[in-house]
Amino acid sequence: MTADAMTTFEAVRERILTPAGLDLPDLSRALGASATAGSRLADLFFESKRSRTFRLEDGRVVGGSFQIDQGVGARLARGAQVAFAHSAALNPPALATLAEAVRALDGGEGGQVSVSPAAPTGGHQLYPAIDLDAAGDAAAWIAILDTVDRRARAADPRIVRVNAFLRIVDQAILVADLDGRVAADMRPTAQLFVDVVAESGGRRARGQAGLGGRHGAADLSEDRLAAMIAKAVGMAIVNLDARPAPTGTMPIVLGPGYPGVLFHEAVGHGLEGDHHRKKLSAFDGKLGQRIAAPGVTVVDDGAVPGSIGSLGVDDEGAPGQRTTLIEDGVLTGLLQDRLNAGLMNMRPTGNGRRQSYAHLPMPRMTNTFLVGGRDDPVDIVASVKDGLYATGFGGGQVDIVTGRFNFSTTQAWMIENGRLTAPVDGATLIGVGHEALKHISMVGDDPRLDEGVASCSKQGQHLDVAVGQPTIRIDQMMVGGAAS
Amino acid sequence: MRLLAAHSAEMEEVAACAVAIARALGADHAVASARASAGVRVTAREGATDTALRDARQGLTLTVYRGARAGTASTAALDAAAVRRAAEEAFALAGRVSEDPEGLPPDLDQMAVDTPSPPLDAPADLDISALRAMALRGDALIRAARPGPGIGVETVAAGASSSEVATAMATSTGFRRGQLATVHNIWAVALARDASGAANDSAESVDRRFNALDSIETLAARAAEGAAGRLGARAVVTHTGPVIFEARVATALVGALVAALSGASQNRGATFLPGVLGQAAAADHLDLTEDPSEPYGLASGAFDSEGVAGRRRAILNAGVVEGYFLRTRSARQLGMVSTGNADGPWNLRLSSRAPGGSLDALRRLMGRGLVVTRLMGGAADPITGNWTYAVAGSWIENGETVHAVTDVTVGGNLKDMLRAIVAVGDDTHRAGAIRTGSILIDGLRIGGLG
Repeated sequence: MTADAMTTFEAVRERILTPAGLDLPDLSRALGASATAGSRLADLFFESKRSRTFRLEDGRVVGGSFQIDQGVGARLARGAQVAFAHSAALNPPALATLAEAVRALDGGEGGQVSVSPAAPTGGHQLYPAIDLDAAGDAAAWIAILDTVDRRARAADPRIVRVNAFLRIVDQAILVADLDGRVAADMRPTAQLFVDVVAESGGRRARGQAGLGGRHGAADLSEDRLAAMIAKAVGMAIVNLDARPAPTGTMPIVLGPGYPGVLFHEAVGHGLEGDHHRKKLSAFDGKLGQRIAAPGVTVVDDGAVPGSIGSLGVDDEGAPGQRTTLIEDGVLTGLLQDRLNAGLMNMRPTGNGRRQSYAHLPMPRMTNTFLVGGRDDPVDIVASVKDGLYATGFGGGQVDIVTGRFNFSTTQAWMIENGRLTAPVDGATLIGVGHEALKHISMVGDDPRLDEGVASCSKQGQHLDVAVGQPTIRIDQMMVGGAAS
Repeated sequence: MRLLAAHSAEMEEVAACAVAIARALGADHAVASARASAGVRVTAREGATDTALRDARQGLTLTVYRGARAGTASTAALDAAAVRRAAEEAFALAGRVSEDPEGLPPDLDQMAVDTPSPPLDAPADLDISALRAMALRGDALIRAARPGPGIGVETVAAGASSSEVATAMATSTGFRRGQLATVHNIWAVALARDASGAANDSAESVDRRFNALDSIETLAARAAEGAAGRLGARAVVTHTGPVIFEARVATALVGALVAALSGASQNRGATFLPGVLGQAAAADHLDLTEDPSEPYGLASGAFDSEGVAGRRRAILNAGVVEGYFLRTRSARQLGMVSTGNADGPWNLRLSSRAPGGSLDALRRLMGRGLVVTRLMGGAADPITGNWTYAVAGSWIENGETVHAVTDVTVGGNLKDMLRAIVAVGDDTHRAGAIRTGSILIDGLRIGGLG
């Protein structure tokens, strides 16, 4: 699973630049032509993305699609002011026009700059470069969906509907900047989702699961498929008996994996460098302070092999890396891109990400998780007299100004006298980041990332990320249900 | 001068060319849509430009049919080689998937070959410096706002944008139509601080005509006052009682009803209102009407992405469901015909036969209870209708605002909530396709202290 920097660069050059009649000297010329005297940062981001999707409905794969998107984004920053333009046309005149457009948007004065490109970077051992055009046959992918359909229906007679969706993406990027940095990466993504409906005695309930990662379709192994189907079917069957969730403040236990979305919302967003530079975050000024209970360590790690949030290099050419956000309860780090790191006199942390060439990069999370502790998950559940145990969530939100976050369950049970009892439907959990973290009293020894199904939206830009945690106990959290 | 160089006629040409290539490959039928857009966008804060963006996009989507099998491909490049590649990929895919007779496109006689096109195109003739001036003015107005003693106001962002889009559709049955449209937008996001902490709020105006936008003065004042009004927010005790959803969040409730009435939800059984056509689903004083032909409407159009026209119609008539939102495939599965809603609803308006008056009047009607001004996030189960959300807003006693509220949830079941709507205000807000006033609902579960 290694990607050598030079090999990757050559492959991306062949895929994006060569067919457009472009090479590195053209990029240097465009960067030099766009820059003005006060330019702090200028870069060109080339992208070529191919994706295939297949959709299964009512036992048949009836939807198949192929998408190809490519273009270049040009950014120019003077102080904190950013000018940005992009083009789907890739050729020398279009690149020259783009450089003029971004210079005009910037409105700065001053002469041209000379840029000398350095040796390309971007080597890593996180995921393989996969060429979607050569990555196997549609028949193999359709067969995966057929298997999902058959097994989900066979798993329980109460399953009445199965929909499934498969998405395979190969993204090639190349970034060149004013300092002469050149970096390239080829990023594969494969993702599979299943959505089932169970029906019994006039009640219907939904179950959902998925899996994904930075790999090809071949890594959607039998074991992973079986686990995904069991999870979706299990959720639907359990929820057939769910009753409305209670309302009130209570101790909660969150299962391992996806429930770590708590740390994505309650911690991660509030530590993105742009919010700190603008002094908008509730965590502003708290670096070095205790904001969580001892034993709570949260990291963002862009270098987890095969994980969907991983980056060999980010969209500004900085290597994917591990940043400790909270160490044993103390706030220690921020997530940075080049612009905000530069303005704050800090170092980029490999978190400069963008949805596409047509979007500006921002500090974004990669794989963000709570590190494992020492408690046995069984003991954690047994420690609660009256509370809630949740293993499935449907996403969350945070208001970074106040630190208030919320996230909603898709699979949860009541805990009574240390034992799981009735399942409950969707409850919304709310809290304030720096307060809720102080109530974490037990951290399990079963940490894991989610199955590769998480995504994150910020200022309208969507990205794949991973979240994770071990089983944890939070002594008090506000749970809002519909039961009166 | 227009921002967009391409015209819809050029997009028609691209779409028609893709259809011709697909036919030459041996496709029985092909449908293509092409699109080009251009825009400028400026944001400002702290007295300076924050971002200045020039946006230019294009794309082609082609669906190719071989018998009753369909394959789709799209490309952002529109040169001949890229269009050919897309056609070949779509053709190959159509050879691999299963037959889906219900997914075949509508016949030409069901398509909007010559229906009138509502006007949607109003170029603003604004260059980047005009937008920059407006963003900077918004920023200055926010920072100058004095919403109350001891309250400082900062700008998170003030911005203005203008965009133009040309779309076109062509099919192998001979359908060929294009459309030009514009969208302009200005917005203000303010942060207020006092001894109790910080809070933010935003105000935005979107329209197809620049001169129909709210003024930047109005938006800046609304954002600054809104942010100040959220300061010192606290929870209320857990109880069951009435809630007013202020107009700009009430659109989400109408959105949940629309989702439940979509053909796809009805077919999949993923709705809390299965088979509800002809039955009461909401309070009997409520009407919901749909109109695709409103001049400059944000959800107006002569035809949907399948080439089918919508029509002015009632969705709810005195609370009774009179129509679903159908595309061709879901219509066939239900034994009905498309309502021209392949891209979602056209302009919708919720109204009450017993008008609730202003938001102040609704507050007085409620007397004591919660006004929700922000839905932060939550869960809505499309099958059961169970609905819980984290919200923020204000607490009302004797019809008057007493304090700002946060850290509470509101829960209920959408089926019951639609029937429990007491009143709809005349403070109409538009969000995309949906227009509604503030909505008063009784009997919701409010989760907070204790």
